[in-house]
Amino acid sequence: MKTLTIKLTAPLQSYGNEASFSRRTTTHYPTKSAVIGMVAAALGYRRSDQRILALNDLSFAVRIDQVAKILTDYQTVEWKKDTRKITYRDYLQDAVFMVALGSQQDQLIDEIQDALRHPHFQLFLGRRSNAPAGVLQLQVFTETTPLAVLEQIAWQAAPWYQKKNQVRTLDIVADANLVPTAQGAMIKDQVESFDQRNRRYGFRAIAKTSVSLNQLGSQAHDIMGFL
Amino acid sequence: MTSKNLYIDLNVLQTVPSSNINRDDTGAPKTALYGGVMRARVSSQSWKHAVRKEFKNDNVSVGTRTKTAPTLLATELQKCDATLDDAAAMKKVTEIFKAAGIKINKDNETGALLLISHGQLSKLAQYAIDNEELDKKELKKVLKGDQSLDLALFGRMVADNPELNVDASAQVAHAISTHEVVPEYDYFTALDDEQPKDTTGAAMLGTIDFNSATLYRYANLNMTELSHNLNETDAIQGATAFIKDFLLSMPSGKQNTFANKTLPSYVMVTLRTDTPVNLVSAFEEPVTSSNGYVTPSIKKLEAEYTATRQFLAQPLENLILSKNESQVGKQVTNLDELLAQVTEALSKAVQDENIND
Repeated sequence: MKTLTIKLTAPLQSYGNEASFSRRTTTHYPTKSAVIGMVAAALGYRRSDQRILALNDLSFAVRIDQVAKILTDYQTVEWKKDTRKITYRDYLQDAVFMVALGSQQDQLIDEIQDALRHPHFQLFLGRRSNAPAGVLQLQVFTETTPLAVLEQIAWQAAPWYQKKNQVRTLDIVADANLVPTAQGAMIKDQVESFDQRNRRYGFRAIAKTSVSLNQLGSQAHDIMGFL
Repeated sequence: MTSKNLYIDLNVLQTVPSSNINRDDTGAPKTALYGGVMRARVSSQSWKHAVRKEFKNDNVSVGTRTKTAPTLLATELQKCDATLDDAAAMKKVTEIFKAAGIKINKDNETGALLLISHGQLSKLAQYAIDNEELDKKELKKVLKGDQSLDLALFGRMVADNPELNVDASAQVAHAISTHEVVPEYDYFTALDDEQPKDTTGAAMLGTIDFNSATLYRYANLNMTELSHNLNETDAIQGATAFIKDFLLSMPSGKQNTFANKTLPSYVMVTLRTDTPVNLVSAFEEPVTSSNGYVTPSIKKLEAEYTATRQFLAQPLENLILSKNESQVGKQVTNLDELLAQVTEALSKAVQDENIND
């Protein structure tokens, strides 16, 4: 299996789960559907494009390298003249995530990597205003799974964070089949349609695990390899 | 790659003195954490609202001004549904215009000129094909509105009629300060002028929260998508209108209390053919200074621009508007020159692409 890692970092990110208009919450790590949406945008698929569904077959895992602090943004929306609605939207602040996408079709991973470097539509981390900070850092690994990659590559948190926090392990959330030993859970995160007429998500199985920091590659060794 | 990308990156450093231009539900200026410290923040929706208001003041509008909207719509309908012949398409058009309350004469023209964009017409066609019942109010808004640039840039969401939604071609990030901010508050007392002479004390006490910041503001424009929504000429005109009003506008919160309206100290406009890049990463490590934030912020931003060069294609153009001398781009002397150069570069880029096709 070929695997592509994507470093997701920005002042603000948000990965909506089931929410009402007035209170938009976020999960504390990137969802697979959000990453699929980003890949679809890069490839130039419009919302109703059926090719999006095939991206669900990608193998997916995410590692939480720098834990977010939640921000609740207060916003008023003038939805018709002189009528305002209040909405609260949650964001993840100051976080770093390592996402890994895998596929048996090596060519697909290469295509996705190329598309993320030359995105057809703008990329964003869960909400349009959350543009990724800096150039998106990507790296490709051959003959390995997303989980195996995340159990090996160096910790990507900012130096100040590494110094300040007594962290021993990093949490990983992955497709359940990648972590057969762990207890799985079902979450509503399978893309069925991004079409605004009928936005739909099904269930997918996830499992959580963690990796010990002293098991990871050293920062100094491969930080430049990422760029 | 089937079609080339064309993006415009707008990087702005703007210093704002004591102010509270965008506040939360407690009345305090919005903030965010970045690089482990608190930053001043102005939300993207707030600044987009300011740009939109500026469009209205400037009477900016782009789109086709035409009497032949019915014929154009008929063509779009036939594109969506190939089984429609000319007569059936025109019958449907008549229904749509009737529902919207716009008269069509026997030559299939409207009495007045309508301002409408290609993107809106194709949306409208799709909507009319998918729905038996037509929502009169929404149709009216589409056909009689003059917001085609606004919609093409910022998108539009109509919850009741999602077919009429437009995906935005601009991306506007929340502005954050390049440095750490400490929230300040102003304690005030107010006297009642008509207060009897033998009474002492204030009639009102209160506090106003505020801060001051050098903001990093970032936005980008997907020119390919904007042209898809409007057309090439309108997209170029729309892009310069957006750049101008993005630079000159500011949310109006507490403007009368603080008189904080400043102009940008530094503007970098980059035309790219690969990907847009938000250079906020320059400020992950906050600027520290005991001698002003603008100059060190410019240095950091330009260093980040240079550092990202090695991963990116050579930009078509990099224009700088600032009184500080720039190390990374072509310096222009004023806003008019900036907009003229952007127009020239965009026209050239669009032309080159057409030749490649």
